[in-house]
Amino acid sequence: MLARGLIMPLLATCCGVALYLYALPLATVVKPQYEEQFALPATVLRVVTGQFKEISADISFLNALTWLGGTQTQPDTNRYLPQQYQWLHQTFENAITLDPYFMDPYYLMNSALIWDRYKVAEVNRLIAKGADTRTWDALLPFFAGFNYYYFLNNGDQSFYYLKQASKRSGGNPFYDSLASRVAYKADKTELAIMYLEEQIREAELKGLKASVAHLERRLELLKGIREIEVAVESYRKLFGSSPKTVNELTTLSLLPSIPKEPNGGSYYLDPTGKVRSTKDLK
Amino acid sequence: MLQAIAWITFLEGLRNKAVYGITLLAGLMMTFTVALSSMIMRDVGKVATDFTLSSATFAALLVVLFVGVTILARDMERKTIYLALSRAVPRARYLLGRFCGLCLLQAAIMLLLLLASLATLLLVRQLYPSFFGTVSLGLVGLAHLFVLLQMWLLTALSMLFSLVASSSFVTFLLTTLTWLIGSSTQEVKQLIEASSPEQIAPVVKGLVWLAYYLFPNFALFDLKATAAHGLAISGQSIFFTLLYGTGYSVAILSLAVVVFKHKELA
Repeated sequence: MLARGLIMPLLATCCGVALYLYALPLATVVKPQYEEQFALPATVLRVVTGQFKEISADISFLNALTWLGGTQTQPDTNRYLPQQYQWLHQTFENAITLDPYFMDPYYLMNSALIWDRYKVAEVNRLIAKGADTRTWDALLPFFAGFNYYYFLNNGDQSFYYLKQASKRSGGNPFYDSLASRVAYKADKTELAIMYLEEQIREAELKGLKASVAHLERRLELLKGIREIEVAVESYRKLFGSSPKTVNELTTLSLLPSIPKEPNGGSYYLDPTGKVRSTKDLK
Repeated sequence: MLQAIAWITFLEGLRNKAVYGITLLAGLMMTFTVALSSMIMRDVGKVATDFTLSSATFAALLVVLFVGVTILARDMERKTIYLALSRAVPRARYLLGRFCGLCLLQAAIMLLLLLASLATLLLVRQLYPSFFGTVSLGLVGLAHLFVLLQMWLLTALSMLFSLVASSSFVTFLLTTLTWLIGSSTQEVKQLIEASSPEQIAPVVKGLVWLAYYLFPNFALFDLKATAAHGLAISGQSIFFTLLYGTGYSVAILSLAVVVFKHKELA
């Protein structure tokens, strides 16, 4: 009798569970694209979120992160659609406006937007602002410095942020080496020399001379380049054009002798008259 | 007598089922924080701190709104206030006793929330030691203290509202609005100051200025970003905030006492 009494409820439960499992995948609200990619302006969010700004920043970031994880790029271009980039940009900007110290949005912005060449100048300005805000962090100034050099061809800003990266990392020789390279490429060899001399001196004071051996080689290389650059400038003043080879400078006694290239290569002049080395700083 | 009223209020609050529901909610949010941490790329400690502190703030706010607001308003609605006042308890003492009892209740809940926050953060630090960042556990403690301080201030305001408002629902609305406005006025004021003069109508500007100086600045008590990123905070700033919170609460309570003394209890 009891078993018969249980049959109906059990059957109803089974039917209910089956129906629920069937309906579950369909029970999703499909939002139109314009609604899915809607983001409030950052200033409005700052006002309405009140004391929950930080958690709203986290949610904005997680929103972008999960979107990136679940969205395919266009098969023909390997890129997202312009409006999708715009939404990502706005969402990241919201996250960092709500919490300017939050590292992850900057980090993801650098990989998802900068490397996809989306509004590089504008996005990198946000990363640089983040580097200025997070005064203890070495990674953001490195990103900003790298982007300024690699994507925006701005040697001055790049050198500034790479110097910051080195300073904040406690004198990481990698950043120093990169900063001096950028200064050289930006036709600021003297600045690169001064910077490296200062960094090597600081490393010596800290008793870390061994760790900067390659910086010393780079310094020697830059000094050689600078010596030749000075002679090239004198040549230009005399003849109004650039010399073709370094040897021309020694023949005319504008350069007493060709400096030794510390890496075993040799110095040469490229078609624009810029001094380069066959081993490094090509 | 004041102690007795405070103790009764504290016990009354503890017996309120809403307190358990709110504490359970905060506990669940903190457990969720541990699960969420695995989704964060680098600033794991910061996100965990945001979630624990936001949970604590939200829970403390709910305690004020669902327990604090109702106690005095219910006393008057159900006429139970006569029982105390008929025993020759001065009105001021009755009000202060109620306030102290609610403060004690909130302090006990906040202590529990602080312990839960610290346990969550220590667990997250244990799980992701390289990504805990610059979170300062000391500042997390201070942030909880500041949340408590702002809730005391909000309680004082809710008491004043319940004396002037006709029902507990109106008191609830006024308290909620005050907290929302007080948490955002600084942002709005800064936004208006940054805009060009022709963009903002003088009336709007005037209203914002009025709201900024009339409502307490609750944003001052918000130390979430400071704790999550281990930012520097001066002793002077801490002292000023403590002074501001205490001073404002005392002023509001004094006003409430004056209103209560002259209130005709029908």
